[in-house]
Amino acid sequence: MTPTSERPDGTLEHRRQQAAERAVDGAAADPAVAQYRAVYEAVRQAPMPPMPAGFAAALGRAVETRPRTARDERVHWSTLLGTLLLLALLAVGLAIAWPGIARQLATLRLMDGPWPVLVAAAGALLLLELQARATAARRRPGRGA
Amino acid sequence: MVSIVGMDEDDQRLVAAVLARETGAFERLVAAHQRLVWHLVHRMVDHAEDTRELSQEVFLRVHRLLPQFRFEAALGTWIGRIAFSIAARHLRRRRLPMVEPGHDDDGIDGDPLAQVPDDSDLERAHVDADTLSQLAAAVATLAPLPRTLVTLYHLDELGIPEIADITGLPAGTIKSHLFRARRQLRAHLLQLLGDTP
Repeated sequence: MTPTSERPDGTLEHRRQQAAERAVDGAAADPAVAQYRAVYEAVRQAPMPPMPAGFAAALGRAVETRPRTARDERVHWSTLLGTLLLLALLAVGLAIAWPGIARQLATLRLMDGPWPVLVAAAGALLLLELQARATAARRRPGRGA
Repeated sequence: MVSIVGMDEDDQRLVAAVLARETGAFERLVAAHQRLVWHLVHRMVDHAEDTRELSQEVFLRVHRLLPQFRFEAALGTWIGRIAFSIAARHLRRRRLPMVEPGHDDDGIDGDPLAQVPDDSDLERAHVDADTLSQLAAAVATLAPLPRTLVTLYHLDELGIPEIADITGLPAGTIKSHLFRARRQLRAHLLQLLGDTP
């Protein structure tokens, strides 16, 4: 979709609206700009019910006095269960597919492969992954900013 | 202005404190973001009691989901997204449309509001406080989505990219809604001043 501001018929209006935003506190020479300035001020003044007094404090008390719930426990255990299930599926898949994979591997001249290069590449990737995890762990809340 | 742009070290410390269950930490988090949530939810649902309940729900969900927050967005943006999704779900449940029926994101052409004259002399007509107050009340006549977008843009002074992050809408769609909303209000202003749009 083409942004409205780039449309030929929208460009002039867009400029006026932008000018109105800039000219909120000043006098506008262009009547259309003055109209948009009034619209801008009206939006800022539009009625809004006041936030209840002590809204943040009440919510803070509510969550801080709340004990760890059964729901929290369920979330924890369901995450663990999901991970175990995925690992089990992976193991079953490997077990089923292993004869085929083994046959394919047997046809390859594995010992002639560039093993030092592959091992070095895998080691480098592992180091990068460990470094990324360590960085993420440092950024994670609760372990220092 | 509500600052929601960028990864903020204060936000990181605050989130860490909440997760460590430090006393008063969640209250500080709510206090830092309650204005944005309140504006967003109220402009969406336009009902004081619903606004209060939904804003509470927003922060309770924030508290529940905070361990999953990975600072991939600014904390304010993430909270805004939760607020927007909860308010939008509320409207869907009540079968209330978020935009005017027949609204077209590209619908600038053929828009009757495009006929609003530019040569109405507002300086001469003078927008007094009463007119401005009536115009402010007319903001409530906008559909929930454009009403929310103009509020986020003009009152909370968020940029289009931040609003796009919060609402999940493309920038072009947001601009289109802003155009139409402001033009609708401008037409209303001219009616208040006695001009024929």
